Amino acid sequence: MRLRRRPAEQPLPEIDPCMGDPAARLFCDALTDRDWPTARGILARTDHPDDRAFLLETCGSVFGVQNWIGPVAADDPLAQLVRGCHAVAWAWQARGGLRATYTQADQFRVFFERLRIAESCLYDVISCDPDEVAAWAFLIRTARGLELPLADGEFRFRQAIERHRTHLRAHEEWMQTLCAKWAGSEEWMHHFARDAAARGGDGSMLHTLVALAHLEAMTDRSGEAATHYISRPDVRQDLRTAAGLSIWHPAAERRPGWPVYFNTFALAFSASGDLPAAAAVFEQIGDNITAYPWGYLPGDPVKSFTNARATVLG
Amino acid sequence: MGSTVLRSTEVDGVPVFWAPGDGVLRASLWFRAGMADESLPTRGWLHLLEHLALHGRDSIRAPVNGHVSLLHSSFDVEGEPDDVVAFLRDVCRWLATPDFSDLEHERRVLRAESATRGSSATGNHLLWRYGARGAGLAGYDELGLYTAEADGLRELAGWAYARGNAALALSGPPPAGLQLPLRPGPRRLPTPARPCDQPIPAGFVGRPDAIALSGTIGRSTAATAMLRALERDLQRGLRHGAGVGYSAWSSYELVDADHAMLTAGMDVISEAVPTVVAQSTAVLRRLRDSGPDPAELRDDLNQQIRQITSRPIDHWLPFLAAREVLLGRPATTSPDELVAETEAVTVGDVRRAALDLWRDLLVSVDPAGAGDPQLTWLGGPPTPGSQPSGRRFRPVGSPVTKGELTIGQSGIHWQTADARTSAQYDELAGVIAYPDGGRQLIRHDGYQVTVEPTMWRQGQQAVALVDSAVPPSLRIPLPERTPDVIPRSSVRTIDKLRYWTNRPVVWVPFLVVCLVGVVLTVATDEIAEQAPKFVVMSLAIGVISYFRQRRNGGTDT
Repeated sequence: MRLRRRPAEQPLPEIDPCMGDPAARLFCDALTDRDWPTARGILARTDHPDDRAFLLETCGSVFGVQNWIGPVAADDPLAQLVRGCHAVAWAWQARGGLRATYTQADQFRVFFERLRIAESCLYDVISCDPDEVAAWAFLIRTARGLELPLADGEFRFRQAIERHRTHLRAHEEWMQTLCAKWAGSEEWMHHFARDAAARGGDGSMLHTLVALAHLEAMTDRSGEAATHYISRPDVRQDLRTAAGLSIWHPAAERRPGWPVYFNTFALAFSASGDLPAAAAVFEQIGDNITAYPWGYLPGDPVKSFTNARATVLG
Repeated sequence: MGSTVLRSTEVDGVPVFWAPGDGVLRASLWFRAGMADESLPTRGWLHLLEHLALHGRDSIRAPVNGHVSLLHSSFDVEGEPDDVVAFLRDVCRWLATPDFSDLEHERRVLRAESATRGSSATGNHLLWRYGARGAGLAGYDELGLYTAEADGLRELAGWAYARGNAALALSGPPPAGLQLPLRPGPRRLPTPARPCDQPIPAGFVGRPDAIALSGTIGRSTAATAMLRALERDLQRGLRHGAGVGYSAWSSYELVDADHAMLTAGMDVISEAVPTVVAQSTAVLRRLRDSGPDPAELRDDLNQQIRQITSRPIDHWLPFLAAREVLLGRPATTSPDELVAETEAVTVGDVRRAALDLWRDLLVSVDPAGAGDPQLTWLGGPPTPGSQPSGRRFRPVGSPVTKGELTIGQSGIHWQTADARTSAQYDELAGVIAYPDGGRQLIRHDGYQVTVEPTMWRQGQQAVALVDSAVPPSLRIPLPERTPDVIPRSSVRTIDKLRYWTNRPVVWVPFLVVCLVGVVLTVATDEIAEQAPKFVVMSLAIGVISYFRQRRNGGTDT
């Protein structure tokens, strides 16, 4: 019998929570090493509100931050900001990343407990510095998790965009709140997405919200209905227009965290059957796979990504 | 206005504040001693002393009154100057050398008064916030009425009614012949209020069909403006808006020199209870996030200013001064100061006060309203660490009732199938002792461990151990309880029998032994031949029963 070697399988790409951004990687490494002066230096140097929010989002992937940052945060609003933003991610980890109907009572208990920590830290931050837009943006998320009335989330969203009109994280969080699965409705979400896109100029990633809204609408349906929705000609046209105004626009900048927007379009185009558009986006992404939005699909996000890419690129 | 209108002098070493006024002379002799200075076993002693001091002094010509708050005691009189002079002289003499011949009578009067008094929402909030000491004592019954004895009361009067701890407020010039013959002694400034260690913002189960929100914040004009705004907003949101509430109320309690606990609440209709926490906290959040409506705040402040400027100053300014000076704070010398402070309050100040309140928020609500995720719901004491070593007691209903009581050298530990609590003797605020042996060991945080001799085997020995371990000064002997309130085990002998019969693993081997015994003594040879088979079968039943029981999780009846 002849022994045949199996063809070497290509290693699967890995999800990098820092999305290939060197500053975010250094920031997360510093937090992992409990090296607050270094982490603080990186955060303090990150001025752009969207970059700052991205950096704070990435810190959610670092394990054990809550074990040591409390005493540091007592005297340092920046540490308190990291503590609050990290606690938001920490809360969602407790919730198991599943939709509410699948979540057990004790998971919810821990979820709320951590959200209360996040809420109180972030309120400490804004009481010292109301212009800390990232804190307002993350507070939109805690409002959603704590099931506060919509008026509270809207207040926080307004506070954020009064200070930075096109703040991506604030828009994304508020649109999530307006989803049917949280406290809003599909019409409301689409309306907001279009409104936000109109606020963003050419090349702004705010146009991505239109695609995200379609993905949300798709995941609210199941089976045939989901496929039918995302494949509708008007939806496909919307996706192309949104991509043309954001990721494909010549004025678009690849700021830290850019892969998530490309991945959003890759998923949306793949699901809608617009293979040429999907192929173009996959080419641009390379191996920069992001957990979101691939986690929306059942199963492993990396496999969903590689399968979709294999289907599109052949 | 603009001139200093508060006058002050000193009589017999006691600061005296007064303002020129017309009409009947009113006097209040204030002392810096209040409920927060008592302990659980002496809770109510100042009230008792106040009653004893005023006993027989009231008259139509010169009505008298007394008051004990968290931080102060006061003795008030109004009448002609001579009557006021006579009252103050006599009451000071009594306070300097108290006479306890009326002790039993006043103790009975106050017990009767205490029995008719229900718990207040503010008292409950003080209790949950501060436990069984300091300001939290306001939430407890006057247990000291059962411990009061002449020597202890005399010692309390010695420091509480000392000259340095007193201040007199008068609504007119000091009358001729005024004397305040108190014993010498220093002023006792209040210690900072120490809240229990618990997660905040939090909620607890309170009175039915009601909600109350409280927080301890720094004293300021903005804080009082915020409290009025909160009360108005609750009234507007819940009563006028949602139509689910009755009248909103608020209270402002000084808990130490610089802080006050602010409480606002409302009674609500039963149907609204499940959502009332969300609605009420939304009202406070609005105030925290956006502040009050500027026009409404201005109207509110103007109304306050009208009150300050329209009320005769001799009716309130000296009294305010006496209260503040005893707290070690400067006296307000003119209404202009208060007017200026009130005028300076901004929307931002009120918003910040609301944020401070939020950061220290405690919410009480009808049991059906508990559970809102914004709050940590306080249900019981923090889970104790390791179980102490000591003598162990089993429940009377054992093995049907699960549980264990351990009484050790340094503390007591109590546990049932689903709860456990412990108390270290050195963290006890008091121990309530009933003649039937029932004991309640109340911790400083207000949680307690109860020992009922009727519920534990050799329960009276458990009680004796507790009594020998706890300092006698913490003991609060209460009168006999009626038999219906003494808890008893509901487990009957038949329940225990059923418990064992449901466990064949226990009785089958016993039966086998009996059977073998019978066979060996009376059976014929043939039966004896069959006996081993019976033994094997019986053992098999026993083993099968054992494993079935284990598979079923060994559930108790």
